[in-house]
Amino acid sequence: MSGLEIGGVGFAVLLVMLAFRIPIGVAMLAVGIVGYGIIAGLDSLLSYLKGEMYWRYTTYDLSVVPLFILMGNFAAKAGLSQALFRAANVWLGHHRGGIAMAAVGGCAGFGAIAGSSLATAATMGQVALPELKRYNYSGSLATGCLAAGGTLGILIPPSVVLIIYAIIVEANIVTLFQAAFIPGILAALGYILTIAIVVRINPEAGPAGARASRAEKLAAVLDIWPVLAIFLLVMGGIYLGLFTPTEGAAVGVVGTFLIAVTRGKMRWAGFADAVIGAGNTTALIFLILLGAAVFNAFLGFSNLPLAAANFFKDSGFAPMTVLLSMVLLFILLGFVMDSLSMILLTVPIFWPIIGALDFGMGADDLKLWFGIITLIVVEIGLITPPVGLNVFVINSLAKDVPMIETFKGVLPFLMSDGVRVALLILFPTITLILPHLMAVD
Amino acid sequence: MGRVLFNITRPLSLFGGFILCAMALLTTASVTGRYFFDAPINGDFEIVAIGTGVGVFAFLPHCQLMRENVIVDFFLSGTSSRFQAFFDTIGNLIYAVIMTIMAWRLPLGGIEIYENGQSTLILGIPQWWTFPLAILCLVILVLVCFYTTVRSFTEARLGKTL
Repeated sequence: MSGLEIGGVGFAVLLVMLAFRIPIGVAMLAVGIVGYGIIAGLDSLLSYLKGEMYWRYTTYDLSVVPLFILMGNFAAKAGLSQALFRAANVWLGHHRGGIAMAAVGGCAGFGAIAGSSLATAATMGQVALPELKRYNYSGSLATGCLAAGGTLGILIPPSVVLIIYAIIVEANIVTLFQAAFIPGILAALGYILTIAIVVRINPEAGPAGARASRAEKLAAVLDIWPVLAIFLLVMGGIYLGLFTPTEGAAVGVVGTFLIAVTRGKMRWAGFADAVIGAGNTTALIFLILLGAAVFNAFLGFSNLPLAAANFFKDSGFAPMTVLLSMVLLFILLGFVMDSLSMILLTVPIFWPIIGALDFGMGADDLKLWFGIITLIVVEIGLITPPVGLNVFVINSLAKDVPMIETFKGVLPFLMSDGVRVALLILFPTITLILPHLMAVD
Repeated sequence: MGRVLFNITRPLSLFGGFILCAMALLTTASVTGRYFFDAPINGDFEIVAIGTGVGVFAFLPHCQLMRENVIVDFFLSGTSSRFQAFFDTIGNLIYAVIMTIMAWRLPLGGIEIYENGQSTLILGIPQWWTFPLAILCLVILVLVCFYTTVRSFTEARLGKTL
């Protein structure tokens, strides 16, 4: 068997293992180790395994991941999601569908200081669902807007998935964060517009809430100063290049911790909860990272990524056709897989292909543009049936809403996602303008 | 047995969390020093890199014990819990075998680094220092992996979740 064939077989075996509930990181490790041994020989494999795990984990580049996760957990414990939702609600709540819009706004705000969709959906769901229910919002709109809003956690930087993408394609995390900013804001606006359209068609789905007094508005806005302060300090510092992402995340951890303590929300039990939760998330991500590293070392030996890139380069397919096929494949994979695993599994093969094609832009811009499109498309998987994780998280919080209602409620938001992906593909400028404006040279 | 392991992995995970917090404090102090007192902590990123490694090793066992690792449960979601537990047994066993191999290779890697005296560039921290800790975590992870293998096998046999 040639290296290419071994690579192909390895990929097939991996997919079968995944289908049979083998943990993703473990399956990648198993196939990677066996394939590496077959192609490179046992001696080379054993010597590779001596250091791989240690050096893979002992790196400065990856330290930003656990720090951002911990920061998000501290922010959730501090009750910042509550403050964000209330602030959005006093301004938007009295419009038709306004409380749902406020939930999306709250998600966007929380997404600006947290890097994970599940955390955003869960924490905002706990806060917003009771309120949506109190005002008789339909179950499908209430849960749908929160499941979709949760994806803003990843779309609006900081974003753990984007960090992993940056490491795979060797892109600059800071410029990627800059590139994600406008598409992230567009996503939030698109969701709010979606709610407006939904309640126009079906006014009973989202009745108007109570109007807040001016004093209430002011108080609610003042209450979110910690979020603003953290965002300006951490993300502002990262965007402007004052901090490395790791430094920003570290400052964010300390900041959110202090806020949680001063708000009386951080006793020992809460701290242990946040820390162990962050530990579990970190561990599951790093197991997949290790698996992907070994699997990709094997794929590299098999020459599969290079052969795939050359094939598409010489095939004469229009670059756009290739890109759209990938988008379609991401959507299909998203039905069964989580976003991080999808990125780690596909990008090492897809990026060389995309990089070899001519999209009329430089390699650095192409990395940004392809990254943001990939990020959005894999996030769509979080809210599509049958395994949309966000949908499950929100649905488990709203016991009285049947799952099918939640999936129905998500549908309009999926259309909004579709429109946005099309816009970003057609107009790369939306993604590239901020990094270009902020480039220091 | 599960109880005993839990009482080991949870404190270990907390320990990893403290390392993470310490890294955050150190980095914040360094950034503050850099901007306000013109006195950054030199080589802070070397400590952060080492801390990340130790933290992750410390986090792994608890994650496995608490069934937090990511699986694709779509294709078997319609099957019986007994059937699913059977494949979970296989998955846990593969994890156990791989981590046993890692726990065998890692000390050899550590000895190599000890012998050639590799240390970090700026602070000169000997790179082998954290190996004993990583190896200890890995041994605990192996124990947890074998325990979870037995656990899911028992679940497959009894047809219920323990």
